[in-house]
Amino acid sequence: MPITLKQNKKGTFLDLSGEDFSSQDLLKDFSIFTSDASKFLAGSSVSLIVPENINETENSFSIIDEMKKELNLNNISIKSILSSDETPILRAQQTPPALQEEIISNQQDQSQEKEIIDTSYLPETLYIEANLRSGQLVRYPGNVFVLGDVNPSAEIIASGDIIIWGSLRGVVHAGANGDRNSKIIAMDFATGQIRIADEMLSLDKNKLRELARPQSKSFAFGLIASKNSSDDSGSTKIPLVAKIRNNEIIIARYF
Amino acid sequence: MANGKVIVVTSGKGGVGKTTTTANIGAALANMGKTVCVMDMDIGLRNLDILMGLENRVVYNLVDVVEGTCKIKQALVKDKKLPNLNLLPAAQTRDKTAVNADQIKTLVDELKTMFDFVLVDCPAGIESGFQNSIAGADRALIVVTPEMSSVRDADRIVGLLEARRDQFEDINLIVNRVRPGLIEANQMMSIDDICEILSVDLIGVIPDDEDIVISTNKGEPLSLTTNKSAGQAYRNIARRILGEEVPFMDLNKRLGIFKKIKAMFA
Repeated sequence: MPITLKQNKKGTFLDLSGEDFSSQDLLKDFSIFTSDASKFLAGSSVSLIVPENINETENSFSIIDEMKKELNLNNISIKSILSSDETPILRAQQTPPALQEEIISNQQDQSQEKEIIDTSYLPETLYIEANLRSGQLVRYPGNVFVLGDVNPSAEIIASGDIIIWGSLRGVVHAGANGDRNSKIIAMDFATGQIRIADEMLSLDKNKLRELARPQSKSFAFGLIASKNSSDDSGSTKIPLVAKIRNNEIIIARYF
Repeated sequence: MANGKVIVVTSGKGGVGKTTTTANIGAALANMGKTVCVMDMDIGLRNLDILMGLENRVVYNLVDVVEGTCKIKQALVKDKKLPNLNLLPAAQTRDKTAVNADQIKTLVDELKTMFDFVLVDCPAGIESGFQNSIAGADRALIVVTPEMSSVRDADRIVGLLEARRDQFEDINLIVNRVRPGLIEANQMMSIDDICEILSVDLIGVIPDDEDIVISTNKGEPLSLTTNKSAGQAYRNIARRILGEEVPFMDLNKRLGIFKKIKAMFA
């Protein structure tokens, strides 16, 4: 069972419930996983989900301690530790009790959805008036606004929304800390892949162009055809928005 | 004493025609009466001497100059036909680490006082060879072919150059190996597509021309011949570098009227 990363409204969870805590390899796997995950989890807090019978396993608590150290090393803090039946086992000392209660109670009633991820802490929106070019990376713990293009293999990783007043051709990751309400808006979606929170979507450029064009016209060969599409007489591209609905990323016209 | 301009010819990706472009524009500028030095910065993988047909005349090289083994004038190789065209060859037995950016800056600053134009042929990549090549440059010519991989690499280069905006008077784009037939058939990225992505001013479009291969093997830049295709395109770029307004060649002219009509309905 691989270690899996779950994200929902209650936050980010590392699911270790299928792991064998008596195995020697677990810490090694965990370390690799954490350093990979730190790219977008750094600075945030996660909850660990451990097997129900953890108390019966020898050394399990020292393993959890090691895991904590590993996470701290990657600048990830632990919010709480839950067993797979989602009862708390250990709690990080700094976490205010109210928040923990909310996590647990929310898991019981899915119907009364309540936002735990609080976006009010986000810093001022980052305003970029430039083209982001290949190899340039913007990592920002808030919303990002780009007045310009995001070119192929340029990257934006933001905790909040990403709005591009230009063409999106690079890779963008909105809500990188797990905020599934984050949106990506661009005047022209010409990218092959977008990410919001823990969801990823590979895009078909042809379909996107079709979606963004007010009056559809025959098209061919994706990018190559863009000469014709940009030559469409008086065609104004319609901005598109990408957001999460029912656990998948959807793209729609912005208006 | 001339106070010349240093122009770096770069691309990021290899094999798009930097060296050919350097040789041809250098030759065209010299043919128009300017004093020109073409400088090969591809230390360890030098080629410019072959394209200029001067490989048998190379004695000293750029690294010798930097290390003080010889004077600049000893290392410069005069062109066979044009006395105002000079080559500063790279060392073939060394590598990119043989020089550093400060040394190259000093070198091109000195060359600037001797020539109207110093054209620097930059190696592929974005590592030290590239950093050294742009060290003393005033202008940059970015060579790109109509392929996504080339455009992406060029984009990276433009980003790196823009980070040193104060140093560069101008960054211009040359689209090389254009095949109008393929563009018309929507099988190749168009010039407009490339310019839209890179948002850099276009200074020339070079059609794909097999005469380039022949001239490369002969060691005689095509821009010095009467070639009407790529040779003419290089001559036009040289004129634009000198500030002349030259209209872009109509590449479709060669397509023939039938294909044009066909393209209109495509």
